[in-house]
Amino acid sequence: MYRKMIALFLIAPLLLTGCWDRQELNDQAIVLGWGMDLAEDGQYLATANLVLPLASKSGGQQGGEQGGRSGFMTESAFGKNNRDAEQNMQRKLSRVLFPGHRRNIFIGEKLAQQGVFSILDEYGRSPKVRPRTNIFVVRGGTAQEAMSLAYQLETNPAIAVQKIQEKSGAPISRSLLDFYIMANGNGCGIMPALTILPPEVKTDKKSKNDSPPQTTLGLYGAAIFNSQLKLAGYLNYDEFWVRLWIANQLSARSFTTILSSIDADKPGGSAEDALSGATSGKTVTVNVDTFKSHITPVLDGGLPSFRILLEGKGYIEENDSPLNLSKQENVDKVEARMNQYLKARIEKVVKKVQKEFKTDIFGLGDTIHRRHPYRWKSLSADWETVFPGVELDIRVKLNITGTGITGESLLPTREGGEK
Amino acid sequence: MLSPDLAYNIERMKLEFLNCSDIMYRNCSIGGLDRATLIYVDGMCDVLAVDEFVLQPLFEHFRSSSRVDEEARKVELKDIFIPSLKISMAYETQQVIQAILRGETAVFTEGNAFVLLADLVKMEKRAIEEATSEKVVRGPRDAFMESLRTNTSLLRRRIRSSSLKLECMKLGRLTETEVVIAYMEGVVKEDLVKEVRSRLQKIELDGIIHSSNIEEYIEDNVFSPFPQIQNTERPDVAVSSLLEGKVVIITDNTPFVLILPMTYWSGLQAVDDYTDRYIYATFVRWIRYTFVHISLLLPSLYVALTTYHLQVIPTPLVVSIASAREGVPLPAVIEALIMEFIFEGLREAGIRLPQQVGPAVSIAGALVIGQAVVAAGIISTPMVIIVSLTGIASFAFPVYNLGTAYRMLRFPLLVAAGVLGFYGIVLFLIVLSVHMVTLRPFGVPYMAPYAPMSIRNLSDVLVRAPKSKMRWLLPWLAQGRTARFPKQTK
Repeated sequence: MYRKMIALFLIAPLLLTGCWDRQELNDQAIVLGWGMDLAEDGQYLATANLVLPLASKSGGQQGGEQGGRSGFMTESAFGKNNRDAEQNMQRKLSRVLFPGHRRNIFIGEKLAQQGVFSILDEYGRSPKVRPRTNIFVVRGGTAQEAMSLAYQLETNPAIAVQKIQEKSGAPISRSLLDFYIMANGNGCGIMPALTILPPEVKTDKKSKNDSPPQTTLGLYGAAIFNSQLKLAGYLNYDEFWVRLWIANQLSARSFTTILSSIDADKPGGSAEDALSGATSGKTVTVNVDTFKSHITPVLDGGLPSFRILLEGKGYIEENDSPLNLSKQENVDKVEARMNQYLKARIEKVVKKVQKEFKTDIFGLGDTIHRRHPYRWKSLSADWETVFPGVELDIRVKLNITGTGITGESLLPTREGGEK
Repeated sequence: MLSPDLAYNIERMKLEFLNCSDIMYRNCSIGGLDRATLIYVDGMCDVLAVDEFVLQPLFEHFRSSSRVDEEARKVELKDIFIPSLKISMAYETQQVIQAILRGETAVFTEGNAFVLLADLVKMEKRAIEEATSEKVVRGPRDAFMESLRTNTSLLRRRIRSSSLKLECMKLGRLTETEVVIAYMEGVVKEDLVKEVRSRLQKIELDGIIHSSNIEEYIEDNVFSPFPQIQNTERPDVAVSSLLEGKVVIITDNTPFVLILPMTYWSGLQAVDDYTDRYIYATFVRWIRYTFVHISLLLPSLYVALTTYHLQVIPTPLVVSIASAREGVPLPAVIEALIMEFIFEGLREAGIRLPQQVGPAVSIAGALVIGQAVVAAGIISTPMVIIVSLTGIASFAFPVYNLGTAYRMLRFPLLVAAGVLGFYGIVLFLIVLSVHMVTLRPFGVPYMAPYAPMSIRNLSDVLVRAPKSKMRWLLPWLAQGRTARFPKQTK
């Protein structure tokens, strides 16, 4: 009896603790995306992208939107910060906001320019949210604009943008975490940038069922933040991969360059012949799927400089030039031309970052920190002023491992091509 | 004590068997004198054999006999039954009554204070049939049946060794049920047999109707949900248990024998594990382990996930669950409890069902419960999936009563998950595992060889190793020598 009483007293406290925060699924509003904008009066405008369970139910069963209802709804509220806005938003919602699935955070351009430090804290502090979240800047617009746009391929625009940036070769679903890491290391930051893209050419609907391209959300590139965590500028879609490659984060990208047909066609000609640097002509596309970067800081005497070796492996996807790719020397020509082209592009982007943004988004300072920790102590203080002037020796080494399933082109004759 | 007076003896018997209409008396009168009387139970003896081997020699004997020498007659009387295989003499009334009730034919003779008992028992019994509760794909088909002697013969024909011991015991004050303790001498631990013997002797019941009566009496922990004594109707299972050093108890009139002590893992080993190729058997075994846990955990995990830990579910899944749950009026726990309850009801109804109404119940079960309830929006679709998956999983147990234990534990676990979430599930599982490792039926740890760990015995738990690699008996079971066979080169 005595022992049983003791056992009872020991078991009772186990039941008094635990998660009593039971919340039925039907009482929660699942937040998939969260947007923050700066309003005119200095307040923040929060926008939430919520799942509409009823709509996705009918959509799933009948294969289409029913009664024009889409799978999501957006709600917004003003507030002094994230939590305050969330509370203000709650008064419009019959269900509790549940941010556990908040995978995407949108920042309006205006807010980004003013600085994001004032709102980013909650995304790491609250136990309800996940740090593996994407954070985007909406270039030339507000978060609300971007989030209100219906996206056709997915039920929800918030899910769409996350997938778009994954498919563009960026690391998967962790740009917020990466931003935190960078902001604490280099003092600068980078996040993917979105933009609202109208169709290139407007096509009218001729019948009810036509589906011409519509205005949609797209990836712009990357937004760069300086040490004040204020928006310094953007790298566009043709530039942002440079930073990913140098930071060893790029996973896939195709590169298209122009080969001069006149030079390429000389039989037995050296690689140099292909490098005539023409600006129009026949194109070759190489799909690169393995990227590597080696950054070596060189510290002799004064200013540090860096040797950056960028390696890649890929195969030729398209060849519109007269080159016969079943010959190794022609593949070598493509390789050489590609290396030259990539080097030029990369150097241009790096220069732009150094001169215009003056922020070390490539993590070059980190390599000094790792290799020469004592030198870094003296350098780190004014790295921001040193970085724009450092010399970079960039070399690109692309290795073409395949030419697709045809060697020679299936088209019999080409302008100036080998027979 | 019997008297030499035949009329007196018969009178006494008739008094004893008053109102027993199945007791038959047959007088043999020769020359107007009652010379002998046969008493037998109608329906329990072989009438033709009695006629041929008892009645005819008896008449011959009395016709030809002229001598009155007591001793000689005694010898002769016994000799005339030589054609019969089993014959004995009884001097005590009680002895005679017992023998008659066993089905033997008692021959009372005039002037003799003893009775001849001819064992010409022949009872109605069914043929050996296929096991119904433990099916196999490959393996022997025969099953135990009600007759004790047939059952022992099924063991003996598989183990032709004098070390298979079959100790007999009578239990039940009124039923006098015969119970046989079978074990392999030299393999089994002496203490285990001694313990079983003494526990059986302590049983004081008026009747043993079924082997489960014995099971509940000799079990170590009656209040545990887990079975600690295995039962089987398959002789091959019984034999392999005997060879592992376990004890088998056969009860008369029960087609299920008891195997003790049972371990948790033996409840998860099926006969087909040993007849299939070992790679496939290992694969199937792991599927079974998975399903065992599904049957216990799936509904509670679902409830805990959807009401407490929404973050853990992948986003697309949470959206589809949320849309399926939309409009369902009940909280997830109640929904799960109701559905599990209904499933158990369906299962129970299915067992007792007369064959003719079977389709009616399955239609009602499948259509009403499965479809209509979802269409009406009372229960959500994922819940129906969860419950049916759990239902299927709960039949993946090779040993039926281990499955019932898990099926029952599901309900408190569901409540714990509904009240406390993952924390509740973990709490419950801790209590459950503490209970399981403390069970020691007949001194053998229930979770052996996993806890306490005996690595070389894991070859029949984590995997099903080739037979030549399963050399070792459980050290808790075997006497001294624990290798099953000498080391082989292959």
